[in-house]
Amino acid sequence: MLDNETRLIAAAKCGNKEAFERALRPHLPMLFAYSRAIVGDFHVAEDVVQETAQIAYRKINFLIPEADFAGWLKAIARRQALAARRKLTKESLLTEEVIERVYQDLAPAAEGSHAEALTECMDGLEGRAADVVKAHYFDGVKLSDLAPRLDMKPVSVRQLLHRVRVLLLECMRRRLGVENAP
Amino acid sequence: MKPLSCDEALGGLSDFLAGECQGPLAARLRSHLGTCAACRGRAEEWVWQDRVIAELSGRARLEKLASRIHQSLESLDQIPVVESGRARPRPWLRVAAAAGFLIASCAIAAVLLRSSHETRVAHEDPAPKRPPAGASQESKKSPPYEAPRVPREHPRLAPPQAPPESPESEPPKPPVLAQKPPSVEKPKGQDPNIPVAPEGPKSEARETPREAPPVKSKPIDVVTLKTPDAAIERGVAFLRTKSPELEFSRISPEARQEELVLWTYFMAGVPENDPEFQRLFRGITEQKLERTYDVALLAMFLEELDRVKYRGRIHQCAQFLVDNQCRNGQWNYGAPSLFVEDIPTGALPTSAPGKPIVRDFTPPYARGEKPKVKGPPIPVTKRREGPESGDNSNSMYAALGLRACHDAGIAFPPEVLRAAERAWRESYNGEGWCYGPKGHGHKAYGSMTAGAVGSLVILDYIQGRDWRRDREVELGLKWLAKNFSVTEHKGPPEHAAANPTWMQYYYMYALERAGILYGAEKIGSHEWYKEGVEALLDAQRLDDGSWVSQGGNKVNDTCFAILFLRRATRGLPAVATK
Repeated sequence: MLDNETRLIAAAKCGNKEAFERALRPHLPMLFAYSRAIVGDFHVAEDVVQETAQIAYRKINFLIPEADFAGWLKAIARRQALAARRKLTKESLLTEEVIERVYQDLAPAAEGSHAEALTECMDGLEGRAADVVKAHYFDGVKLSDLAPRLDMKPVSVRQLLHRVRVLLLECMRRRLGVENAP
Repeated sequence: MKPLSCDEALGGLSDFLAGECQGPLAARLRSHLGTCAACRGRAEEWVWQDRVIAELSGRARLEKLASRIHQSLESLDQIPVVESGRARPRPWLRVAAAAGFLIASCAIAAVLLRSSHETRVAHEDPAPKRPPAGASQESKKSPPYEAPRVPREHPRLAPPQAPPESPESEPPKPPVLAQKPPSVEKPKGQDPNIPVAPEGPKSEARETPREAPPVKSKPIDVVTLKTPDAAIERGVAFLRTKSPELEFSRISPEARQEELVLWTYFMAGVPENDPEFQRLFRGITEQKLERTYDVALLAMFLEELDRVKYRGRIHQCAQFLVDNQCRNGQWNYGAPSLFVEDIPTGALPTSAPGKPIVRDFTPPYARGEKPKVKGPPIPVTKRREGPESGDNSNSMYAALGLRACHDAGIAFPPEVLRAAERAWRESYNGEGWCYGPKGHGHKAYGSMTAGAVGSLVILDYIQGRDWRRDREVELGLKWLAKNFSVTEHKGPPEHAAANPTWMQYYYMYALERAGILYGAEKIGSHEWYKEGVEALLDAQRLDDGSWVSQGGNKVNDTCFAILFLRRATRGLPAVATK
């Protein structure tokens, strides 16, 4: 896997765009999740990922062999996401340290026993709880826009998402039989 | 501002993660999270949970995302590493550049003529030749690892000397050449073979360009320009051309270049009232502490600049380093620590819009000594766990940062120092060191082994032990002696087996630190500094004054080369053997 990535990057440094895209592809979900964690907006996160890819391609020759490609991409995404966040709001990031801790390991998070348990718990959601997860996480609908669709007040949608977070965490712990996750 | 309860905070946190929380509630939430470990823990769980779901969402949209990226890359070109394709200068710029070059050539020729004349006066030699680079050290023969333990006087701390008398009235002074310290240890920017203007105070002579007397034409002998100080000047001139790129926004996971460049300027003798020096200084003091390399260099710089005045910021650096130590005792690239913000920085310069920094630019080294730290050491405690493991490159810079903080009166927890030391000893692979932690499996190579020697010496020094009795230090020096080279990065490095000059200057700076920290003028039978100077002078690019190695970049490599030439590392005071 790593050797393949090394070969693709070497080809990308010679101007091979297809090789670059193939090297980038496995990291896109992580970059999207990371960008979304920083900017807090689904669609802006997609823009950030696109900008990250453009910058990475243009500057691929500056990637030193010792550097980890995923880490390099993440660093680019971080700068772009923080810049995007500043444009969206003047609020500084509340949980930057937490985000960095969670994203220290750049291997796909949606794999492994914890992630499988969480996925199973999500599959078990029904009704509005399932709707809010699908709309918020997978379709990028803002909670305020989701309220009329669910025939709820905005504050109620936010509370519902909060309850879903708590439920999912408890469900995952039960499935794994552990106190702390991950 | 009314504090939030945990229930309120968690509700607000959920909204915040969904991008729905701003304004006063966010400020209260931030305040709550700063003090409530339980809610921070919950925040981490939810961020992880969001990560998993968002990655699943990212996978579901992978094709769409990839297609969008594919289209956006269509019209893009890569930026080559080697500079090319720059806009051609306008005609008047070319004329100005040619005129500037002519004036500079005349100035250099005049100074050389004058120098040559004075050398003749001093030596009564009708055809004097400039001593080869590093010749001033030749009289100081030291057996391997047995150089005096007295710390070398630091270039930045050289006490001000009286302006030299007029050459005409001065008797010949050949003994001065024989006795003076290495030429690079002279106050900054002065070629030992180029006399300082006899008129005016020294500080002015240092901070203003040398005036060029009218001169008759004489060809410039490139060979005579190959002195460490001349090379440093050219290197600094190259770095200045890169100034527009040093905007604290370089995209890199490992480190910015600004701290390294500022550290190099400082050591190369760029005056502190230089606008570029001030710009970088203002920038680094305003930046958040984010990366291990940057923070270590910042601590080193501030400790040298004024360790009393900037002790608060150095304390922050220490907190960052402690909080970022990995569980196995190493360091990785690092991540911001919330706990750094709890430490007041004291008198840091402020930059009100449109107003320059108000700062005392009286250099402490002008007094001939560094300011003494008064009062008891400031203890630092580890307030968060770092990641599982790091690497030996970040770890060696972290050790330099620890040393700077220690010298500024910061007391580290013994367990942090012991863990760092243990990581270095455990990552010894039977020959030397490579990039990874214990069991990494690669063969030893130069930069990592030199870095290990320097780091273990520092850790011994901080813990009050004699590093000359350190077995791993001796083993590291033996490896460096056996594989000594100043033209190749021996090993080979694990990332460039077929390339013997990969990151050559990164290695050279590590070698300089190992030699000076240990206190050895020789490694094996090699006079590492003299040989290194000769290699660096040969390798400096004639077109722009930079250095560059395979896998490196011009700015970093030029900094490393200058730091080597300048012998930038401060020696350690002797530690009483227990």
